[in-house]
Amino acid sequence: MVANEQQAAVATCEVAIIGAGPSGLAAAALLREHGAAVTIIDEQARAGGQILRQPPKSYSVANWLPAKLYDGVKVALRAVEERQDIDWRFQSTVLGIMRPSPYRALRAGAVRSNHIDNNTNVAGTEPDLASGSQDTRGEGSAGYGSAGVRDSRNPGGIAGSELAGVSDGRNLGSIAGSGLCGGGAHELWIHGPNGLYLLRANAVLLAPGCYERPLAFPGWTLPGVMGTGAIQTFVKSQQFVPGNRFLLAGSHPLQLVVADQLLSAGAQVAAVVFTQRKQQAWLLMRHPLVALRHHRQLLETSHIFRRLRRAGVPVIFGHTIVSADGAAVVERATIAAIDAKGTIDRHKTKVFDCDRVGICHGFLTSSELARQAGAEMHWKDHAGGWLARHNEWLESSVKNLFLAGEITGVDGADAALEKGRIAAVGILRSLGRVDDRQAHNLAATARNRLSHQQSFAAILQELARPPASLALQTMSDDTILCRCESIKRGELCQALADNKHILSADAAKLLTRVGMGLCQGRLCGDNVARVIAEARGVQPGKVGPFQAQAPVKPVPLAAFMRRP
Amino acid sequence: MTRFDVVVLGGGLVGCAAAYYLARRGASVRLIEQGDLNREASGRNAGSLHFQLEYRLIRYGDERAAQFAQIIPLSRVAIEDWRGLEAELQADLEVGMHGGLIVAESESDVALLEKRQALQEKWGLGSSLLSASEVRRIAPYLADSVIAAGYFPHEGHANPRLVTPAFARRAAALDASIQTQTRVTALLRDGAEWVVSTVDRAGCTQDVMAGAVLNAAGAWAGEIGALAHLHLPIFAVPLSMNVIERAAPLIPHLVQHASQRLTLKQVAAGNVLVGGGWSGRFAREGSAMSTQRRAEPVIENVMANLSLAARLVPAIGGLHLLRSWAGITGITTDQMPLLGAVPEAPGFFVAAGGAAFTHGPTYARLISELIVDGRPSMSIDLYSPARFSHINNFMASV
Ligand SMILES: Cc1cc2nc3c(=O)[nH]c(=O)nc-3n(C[C@H](O)[C@H](O)[C@H](O)COP(=O)(O)OP(=O)(O)OC[C@H]3O[C@@H](n4cnc5c(N)ncnc54)[C@H](O)[C@@H]3O)c2cc1C
Ligand SMILES: Cc1cc2nc3c(=O)[nH]c(=O)nc-3n(C[C@H](O)[C@H](O)[C@H](O)COP(=O)(O)OP(=O)(O)OC[C@H]3O[C@@H](n4cnc5c(N)ncnc54)[C@H](O)[C@@H]3O)c2cc1C
Repeated sequence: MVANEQQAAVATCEVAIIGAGPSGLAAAALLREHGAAVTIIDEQARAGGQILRQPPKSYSVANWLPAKLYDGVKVALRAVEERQDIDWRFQSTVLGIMRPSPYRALRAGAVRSNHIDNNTNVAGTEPDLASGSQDTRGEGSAGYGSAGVRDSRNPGGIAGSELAGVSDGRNLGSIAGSGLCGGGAHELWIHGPNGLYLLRANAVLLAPGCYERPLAFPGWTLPGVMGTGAIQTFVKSQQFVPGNRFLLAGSHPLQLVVADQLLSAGAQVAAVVFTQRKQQAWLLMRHPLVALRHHRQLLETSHIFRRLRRAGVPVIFGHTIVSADGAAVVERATIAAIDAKGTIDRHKTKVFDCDRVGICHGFLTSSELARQAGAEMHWKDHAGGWLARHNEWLESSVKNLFLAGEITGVDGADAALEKGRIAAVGILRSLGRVDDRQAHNLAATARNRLSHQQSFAAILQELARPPASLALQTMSDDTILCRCESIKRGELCQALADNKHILSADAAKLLTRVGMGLCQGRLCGDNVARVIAEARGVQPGKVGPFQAQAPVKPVPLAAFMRRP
Repeated sequence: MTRFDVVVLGGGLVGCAAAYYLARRGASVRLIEQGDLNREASGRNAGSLHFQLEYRLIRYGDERAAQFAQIIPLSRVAIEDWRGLEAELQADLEVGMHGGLIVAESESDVALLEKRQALQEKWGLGSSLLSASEVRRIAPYLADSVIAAGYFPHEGHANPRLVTPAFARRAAALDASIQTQTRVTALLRDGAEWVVSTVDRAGCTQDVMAGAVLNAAGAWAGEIGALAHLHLPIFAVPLSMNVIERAAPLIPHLVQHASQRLTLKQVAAGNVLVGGGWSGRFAREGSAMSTQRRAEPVIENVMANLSLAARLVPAIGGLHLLRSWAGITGITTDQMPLLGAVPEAPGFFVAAGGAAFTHGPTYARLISELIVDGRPSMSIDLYSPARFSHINNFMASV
């Protein structure tokens, strides 16, 4: 991977999109329409993101995603997934979004290839092994404009057998766009199938989606306790049912969809348990906005209810899971009633035999790269925890770092598409490919749709919201809070009591190791913030998210090794 | 106006330790920290307790190396301080002083080790030079490329996460007043007293009187000096660190390299920490380097650092890197600590620079003796800011 002792392999591109979910794909389509060169990086093997988690290409699954709910996003996927003029980099994880060195001047000779070719097969370059690192101008300086600074040794693209070792052997195109790696560019650390390299991009679109909000309770670390969405992923992508008898507990309507999918895949569902009381759920479902604009979803929901009833699956409202027990794996789960104030009543419990428990309390944004890059974040509990701040073009507080999809608020797949489109226009505008007026016109429809979708999403978020204090109530002092480091809630509380100066999640992490493990706090961050906030009498938003560091996910050390 | 005997500026290891030792000697103390305690160099460093001369101290020629060796008397005292620290603070600091190895892979490395050893002996620090087979016996985890090692039995490591908070807890228990999220904005001398002005996150300003001011602002000590119209020649440098996932206990020692930048150790939880002074990169603020924003690691340096580590300890090659980060530390123009009173500004004391994780508790103890008793228990003249009087002579105000 390394050209010489000093330098890491470097590739360049015009726009790097992190995440091939609905928002990333919608952005890619629009960017390509306007001639911008696009590189898409995703850790998965195929495009589609969370909601369209596709079966492996090697075998096809009958009846994949039958529900009508996914039509819009499927169209978006089909529109781009076969495009050859996009530089796809799958099974590649972005480990960090860094500033390119603002202290080195660009050495013209170090850049390989490339005349500008806006509308034909454009793609990024592969890591340039022959000449190593290519430098960029300082953050504060203007981008440089012409092909004059570039080397014409290899016009029209990279051939180079020396690249074979690192490239995926695909679309070796040329760099497009003016102002390559000028002011405000970013440098991504990427770990792909062929190792570790840097990708320099003039603009980055961060569309990393969200993941399921974990709930900590006695027994939550037992094998067999999973996210309900993870269960769905198995069923969706492989039609494989990961267990026999499922108990689903949570507050998100997704549980209904998954229960239905489990039944049709032949599994047993012990019960579906909602924290909401029945009247509360019903009121919100009948909200005029929901009824008017989203009759399709509502219709689907009532079908599901009917099918569950027919299969004899109890749907229980006003309860929460309080523990899971079993010797080596889950054997039973206990639920308890929640009173009108949201307090758990431990005298009213029910026990269910089951070998799988699905937990479903909504989603948290995958905010680690945004935090690592230093983007400003804000806390909005039921909208996904830590969200990245942005302007009207979905540009974050970090210049040329744009955001799309759930990272700005978990609003669902249809909204993700529109955000992708708006961010794409923002990028075109920032790259000077469209002017301000064009940009506003281009984004108008998407903005319009997004605002409708977001009003629905807001209702869904409200509906899907568990009682605010639920997480604090389900954890006992003995409950493991941080799985990676095996830290119990009681240990964190003790450290907070002993060290009055600790006010932030970061300071708590440094002292106690909470959030320091393999997952960098993805699993415990939300609950840790709640525990600290409670101890200090503030809102979790005041406690702050954990500072994320590159690499945001663990990487084999071997990827960093210099070859002798 | 509230008055304290001493106002300590900076809430890293040095500041918190000084607050403790000062309070223990009966002084009334206020500590002021702009962020949270222990979030800068003191909470981000490698946690090495190195008492042998580090590579950075001997790489710039014999004459300079001989000069840097003057740090050894402080190191010898620091060994005793660390041995007693957990008892003193009634806390588990994960202090492990099981010996340090500076490994050699070539004849020229061995020559460097011999030179190091001679210098160390001159100042009374007796280390031994181990042969290849002796190294293998005590450190079977090291690669075959290691042909010799300088060994000092008292070296080791402690956990930076734990040390500063332990000092802060003990200081608070002795009624030291600790104010975080509060920035020092002005230092004015009023006769024999100082007026310290601060502003907190909410924008509230406050002035307090101080009989003495202790500048413990690490890499920012120069900026604090400037508030008092002084030049303190200390530079901020961004250094990077890497932490590797947990492994079964394998490496009891602190491992360094004779001629390359490396420190490697396994902490109590099993993680392996790899550092050694590879630079990170500062953010830029306009045309200037910013020491107020987070510095970033540089991938080339991370690669070089990890490659070296995995070459020397092949067993870690199969593990995962969890994170890399950069911290900002202060280095003086002559690499020696700045420890003592500034003669040109009565009542203004400094404790900054150097390897202030290893030496921090000792700096803090000695400076508290100087401030409260007027005399430290060992001479610190070698490290005194007075060596820059030829500069501050032109800065002194009356
Ligand atoms: C389990 C689950 C089930 C869901 N079910 C529904 C549903 O039924 N209906 C609905 O409207 N919404 C659902 N959602 C929400 C859903 O995520 C979004 O609606 C939609 O997929 C969001 O699109 P996106 O583009 O923001 O992100 P995603 O579709 O999540 O795509 C993000 C992509 O980024 C990639 N990525 C993330 N980090 C990195 C990195 N560091 N390096 C490389 N690649 C990275 C991921 O691999 C992923 O493919 C679900 C979410 C989850 C987690
Ligand atoms: C990556 C790295 C690895 C290292 N490894 C080692 C090692 O292994 N062994 C070793 O001995 N040393 C090591 N060091 C050096 C050691 O960490 C430092 O010398 C030591 O921590 C300095 O402590 P300090 O308290 O002086 O400074 P710091 O911990 O930096 O504390 C200074 C404090 O002053 C505060 N401050 C600054 N300006 C103001 C203001 N205006 N108002 C209020 N507060 C202010 C800052 O916020 C900061 O908290 C390493 C350093 C780094 C960065």
